[in-house]
Order: sequence, then structure tokens, then C-alpha cells
Amino acid sequence: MSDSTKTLLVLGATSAVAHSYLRLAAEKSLFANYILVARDAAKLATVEQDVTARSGAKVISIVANLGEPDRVSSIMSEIKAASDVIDECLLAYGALGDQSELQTDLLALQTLLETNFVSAAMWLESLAKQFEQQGHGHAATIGSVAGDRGRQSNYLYGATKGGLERISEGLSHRFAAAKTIHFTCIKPGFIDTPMTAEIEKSGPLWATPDQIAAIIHKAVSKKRVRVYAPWFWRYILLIVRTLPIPIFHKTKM
Amino acid sequence: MGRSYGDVALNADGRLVLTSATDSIMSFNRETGRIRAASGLTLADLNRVAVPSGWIVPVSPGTKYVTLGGAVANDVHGKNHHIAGSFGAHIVALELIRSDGETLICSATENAELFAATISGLGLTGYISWVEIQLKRIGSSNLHVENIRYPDLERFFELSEDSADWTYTAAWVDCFSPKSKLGAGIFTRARFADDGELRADDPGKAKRFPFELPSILLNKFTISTFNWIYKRRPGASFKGVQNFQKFFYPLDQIQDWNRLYGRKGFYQHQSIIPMTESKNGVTALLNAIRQNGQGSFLAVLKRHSKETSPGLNSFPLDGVSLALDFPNRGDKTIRFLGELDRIAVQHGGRMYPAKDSVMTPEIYQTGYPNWARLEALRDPKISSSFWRRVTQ
Repeated sequence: MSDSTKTLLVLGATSAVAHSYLRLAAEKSLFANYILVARDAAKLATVEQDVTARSGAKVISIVANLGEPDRVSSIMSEIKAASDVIDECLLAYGALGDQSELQTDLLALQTLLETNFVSAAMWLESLAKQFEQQGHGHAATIGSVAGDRGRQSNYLYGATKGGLERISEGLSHRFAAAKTIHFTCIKPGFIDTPMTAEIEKSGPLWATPDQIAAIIHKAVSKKRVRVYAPWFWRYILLIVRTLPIPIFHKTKM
Repeated sequence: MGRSYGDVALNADGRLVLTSATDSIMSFNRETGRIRAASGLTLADLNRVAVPSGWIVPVSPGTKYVTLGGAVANDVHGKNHHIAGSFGAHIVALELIRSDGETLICSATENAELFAATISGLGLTGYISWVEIQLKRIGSSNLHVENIRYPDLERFFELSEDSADWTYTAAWVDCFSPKSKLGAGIFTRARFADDGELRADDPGKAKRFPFELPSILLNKFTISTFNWIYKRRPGASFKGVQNFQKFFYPLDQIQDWNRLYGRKGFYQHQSIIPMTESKNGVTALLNAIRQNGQGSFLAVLKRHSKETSPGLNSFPLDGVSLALDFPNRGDKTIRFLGELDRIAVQHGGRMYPAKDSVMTPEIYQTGYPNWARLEALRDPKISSSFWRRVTQ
């Protein structure tokens, strides 16, 4: 089906945004091979079938818990056994966590940090090594607008995503001279997904996974380092970041 | 998707299950055109995947924003009904999950009675989790289209006969034609081209109807003026090639077109009259509309053939259907729709549940003598506003 010979690796392939991105890639015949990694075997099988049917390309799934730092190396070996080259990777797994629970349950906090930050940092470094060896590559990481300033409603989740963005940003800087290795951090605001199923959704700030997927595609094509998704969050966060502390501390956000 | 016209997909004081998030394709064989997908997949998405490989949804209604599950539950039909039957005629199998936890694969050979009851079962027999259908082979995403202006109902019937070998036929009717030209309009017929172009992309960005039109602007004068212009626009006698999206889904190009009817909205009405009575029946319906003065922008006449779908309570039959929409003017409109219902039933016809909001139990049960079988096979924990209205 595809003229492409490229391989896409998706970490957290069952996330709504990742699934949308896979559908977009399938429809545009962007890749010849897909490697999907996720924890939930049944959901992953659904996504694998869907991508296979829509793309007509070769799709390999690996069931694994990406959020466990100890497993990163062994999963990476499995991925390399499946494909010598990884042309593009979307890092899309992560957990939202419950801020009030995280404040009191330290083990829950440790799990969140390991899932969203520790393991993800290790994945990005593993990918950087892989890209260096093969001489090219592009990794897109899902960050969050929550990472821009520590706010009482979700600073722990925000810290993991903010930290991850620093790594993606640093890798971009490190490989800037190479011209063939790229890292992009996508920073969505609210997305209507199973992750946010518990939250009441109203107003124009909510985006669909398909909208975010289209933004990722554009950002990757243009080799952007950092992109707010959708664009207006850039200006909302500009205000949030620049609010002077005396005023900021009077807010509840 | 929550876009049904009437109350088949409403459940007053109850709960609804929205299936839009379950829209994965499970398998697609590009050699045979068999596709199995979760019931929330829309026909729009299905065609986006299928058309580039030379396949298309075998039967499609006038909008692509319909889920597979909805297409099964209403056993939808399209402009090719006289050749292809309803959607149900192309279903290979489906999976039904009942509220007692039972999961049943249904097909013509397995759980056949439940299969027949589920096709046109208005979602009442259980949750349809996936559907497998046989797609239609196409050699192009374009169609050869002919629009022909015709002067009266007699000519509509002649054109329908002459065009029986055209895959797609339907006619737009001007409800405000004088009595001598009753049923005059534009007859459209089309068949797929064979030029090898297989494009599934949208034919241009959909425009959005910007506001709710004040209802005062929608009256006999404005509708008849619209119709007068519509009949005389250059496209009214168009002969040429058209992309399938433009041909099948003209209204989908205008997002929120329902705003045309203002805040109070509109009612749909679609009836079908068996062939033997069709001339008398359609004449009586069009006369009633003329006399009442409640004209309709989009009046569509279509010649159907004998139903080939296994659906137990499918709408189409060997005859002629008339689809209408009327601005909501409260009780006046509801009374008038009741009058149309009675005319249809007097001529042996029936109304389409997918578009209905006003049928009485008597009218419904006369038109659908198999309704009691559906009631018997209905999942005890599933109901709808429509079903309670027409069975109680």
C-alpha cells in the first residue's frame, strides 16, 4: 500500500492520541512498518487490527509495561529485534494521577514519577543512542501545558511533563548540528480522551485526539522543537507563566 | 453519533449508550472487499479507508455521518435501493451483546431470527458490537451524473422505468408546482465511472451555516422562491462527472445546515407507497402538501424495488417513497404530519421510523405487522422513546 519504507515506533499505542496519530499515518501511507508497544494486551490487539486494516502495512505489537524503568533496556532489545531502524517514534504513554492522592500516597507518587518521567527519560536517551547509530531519527514526545508552571491543582503531574520537556528540548539542542536527528515536544491542553473521562467537558478549550494528531503530524514534518496543541495554549500559558507571584498566589488554578 | 432526526435514538428518563469511541476496524480484506469494524465507525471513515483500494460502502443514505450500528438498526437505504436493496442486504454477520451478558454472532445461518430482527431492529435487540459487510467494487471515485428536469408525476414514473439500469436514481420535487404540474422536479441518475481515479479526500472544506435563521424568514413565499431558483439553476440540467462525496452527500458540505430551520428546528417525514397504489398515493400526499402550504425544501421521490434485506421491519418495499422536511410550527405541523401518515396508510404505505417523531401506535403497527416479533426479541433492558410511543 505504501511507497514509504519507514518504520514508526509508538510507545503507548493504545492512548487515544497515539491511536489517532496511527490512523492519520495509515491514511497518508506514511510508513511501511509500525511497531506498537503498550501494556494492555486486549486494547493493543484492537489498535493493531485497526492499523493493519487501515494501512495495509506491516504491524508488530509488543505487550509491555513501558512505565517500569527496569524494563526499558529489555523492551528496547525486543524492538530492535523487530526492526533494525526506527525512523520515527511517538512517546505517548503516561498517567494523569490524582493530585490529592499523590500528595499523601508516596508510593503512588513514586509510580507516577517512574511512569511519566524516569522511564520516559530513559526511553528518550535510548532513542537518542539508536538515532545516533543509524544516523537519523525523529522522536515526538507528548508533554503537557501543565509542565509550564507549578500550580496547586496538578504540579506533580506537571513536574513529570515539564521535566520530560527539558529532556526533549536538551536532546534537540544536543543534535542541532546533526540536522538529521530531531526531537519534538507536543504540549496539549485539555483533550477529550479516556484519560479525562471523569472530567466534565465544556467550552472551547477541549480538543479531540484527531486534532492533536494532526498537530503532531505538522510539527514533526516541520521539525519543530516545541509546539502547543492547539496553538492558543501558547498564549494562555504565557499569561500563566508571567503572572507575578503575589497575584498568582491569590488564584486557585 | 446522536444525529437521528426522530426519537428512535432517544430514551426519555433513561440512559443512552454513545458508541462513537468504538470505531476500530477489525479486518479489511482488500481482495474480497469484506470489512469488519466496531459499530461506532462512521460511513465517512469507512469510505476514507475503502475508496483508495477500490471499494465503497454498498448502500449509503444522504449523509455520511452515520455509524455502522445506526445503519444496521435503521436498515438504511440509498439512491441505489432499486438495484442493491437496503444496507441489511450487504451484512455478512454482526455481533450482538445482550444485557444478560450473552454474546451472539448473528448471520443468515447463525441466530438467523435475531439477525433479521436486529437489522431494522432500531437498536432494541441488544448492543451491536461489530458489523461485517461486503463492500461494493468501484473502478473510480467519480460518477457519471445526469440531472433531468421533468414536468409532472407521470414523467417521474416514466423516467424511473427508463433509468432502471442506472445504479443511482432519485428525484427532487418542487412542492409548490401548480396542480397541473404536480410532482414536477429534477430527476437525477448516476452510475460509477471507470476512469481509475480513487480519491477519498473531502471535496473541499465544509461550510458552516452561520446562525439560526429566524423562523419568520421560512414561509411559503421564501420556499417557493428557493424552489423556483433551484429548478432554474445551471446544475438542474447538469450532465457530467461528479465526485462521490459531492453526489452522495451534498448536505454534509454545509455543517449545521439544520440551523436553516431556526431555533425550533424541523420535522422529517418519509413514507413509502406500494407500486400498485403509488401514483394515487403520491398524488394525494403532494396535494395535501400543496393545500396545506407547508412546503418543503428537500422533497425527494424515489422508486424502490422489492426489499432484499433480511430485516424484519425494514422500511423499503416495492414502491415509491417520498421524503420531506417541514419547519416546526408546533401542533399545526404535528397535525399535518398525522394527516400525511393517514394518507400513506390508506394507500397501503408506511413511514420510516428513522425519521419519525409523530406516528401513532395504530399507524406504526399497521405499517409494520412484524413489530410484535421485534418486541418479543427485544432485549428486556433496552427501550427507546420511539418504541414506547408506538407500542403502548
